[in-house]
Amino acid sequence: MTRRMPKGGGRVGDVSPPSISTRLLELVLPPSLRDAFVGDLIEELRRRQASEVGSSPTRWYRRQVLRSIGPMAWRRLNASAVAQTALSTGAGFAAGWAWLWLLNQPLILGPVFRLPGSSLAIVLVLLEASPYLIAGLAVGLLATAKPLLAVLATGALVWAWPLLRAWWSTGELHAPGGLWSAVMILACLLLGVWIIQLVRRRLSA
Amino acid sequence: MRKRSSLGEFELLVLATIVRLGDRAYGAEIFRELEEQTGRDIAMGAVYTTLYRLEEKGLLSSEVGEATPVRGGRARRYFSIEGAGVEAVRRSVQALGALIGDTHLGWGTT
Repeated sequence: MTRRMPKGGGRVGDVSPPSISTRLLELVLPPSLRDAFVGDLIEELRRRQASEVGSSPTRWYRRQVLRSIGPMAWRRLNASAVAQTALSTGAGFAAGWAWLWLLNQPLILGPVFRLPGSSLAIVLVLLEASPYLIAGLAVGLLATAKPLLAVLATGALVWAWPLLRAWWSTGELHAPGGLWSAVMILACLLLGVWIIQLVRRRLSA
Repeated sequence: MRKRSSLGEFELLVLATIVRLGDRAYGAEIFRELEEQTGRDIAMGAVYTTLYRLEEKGLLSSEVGEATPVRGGRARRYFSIEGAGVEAVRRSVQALGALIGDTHLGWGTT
């Protein structure tokens, strides 16, 4: 019997799903859905191959995997409080430092230093606090399971970061900023999280 | 007053498809039916995240079925609609009918 070559490659009725795509998908799927989801994709791939629906069943399969990985990974992440807390802590820390780096660019802060004395002092205090506020906004966006734990973890990370950096470069340990800086960091983080929750409540009302 | 959670458009489509397919509806079948009936290019991931969410809300239940060679030896998961799911579909369709029924779109007049 002669088997016809379908457009996507492989023989009709003897189609193996692309293995890398399948592995990738299995990695992000929750165990309870793994068999059902991948099985359904394989079943549909073989049906398309047999009935020649669409241009290339293999391409269709890869596209389905690509479109499904994001939502499925997000769903899985949200189901695990530990993973979600770790992600929101990391994202908060990264957002705060990215904002700090941006502020340190001369083009951004240049006009600020041309402000008159008292206005400059207020703006500088706000700018100093803004990375922690941005970090709090990022934590609030991602941490829906344990926001307080994520705030504390981000705060500790931000507070201890200069100490860790100095230890890494000089090998010496110095005490990090005082109690006041810790309170300010926590207050700004909490303010960021509170703003996000307020916006969320308003949007869902 | 506590608001009742309402169904999103895609949630309603998925639930209606399961009602249409009957008790032993599974992912690939729901996916095909949705593509055929809506004419949309749908992602299997969207179908599954919706099924997952509807099951969490208690509107659906599921059970693992048999594995077949055409599925690479993987088992099917059959979904069936619960009483709360039927009620949610009924409420959504009723609300839509009430909103559109008397408009110039002419629902319910033909």
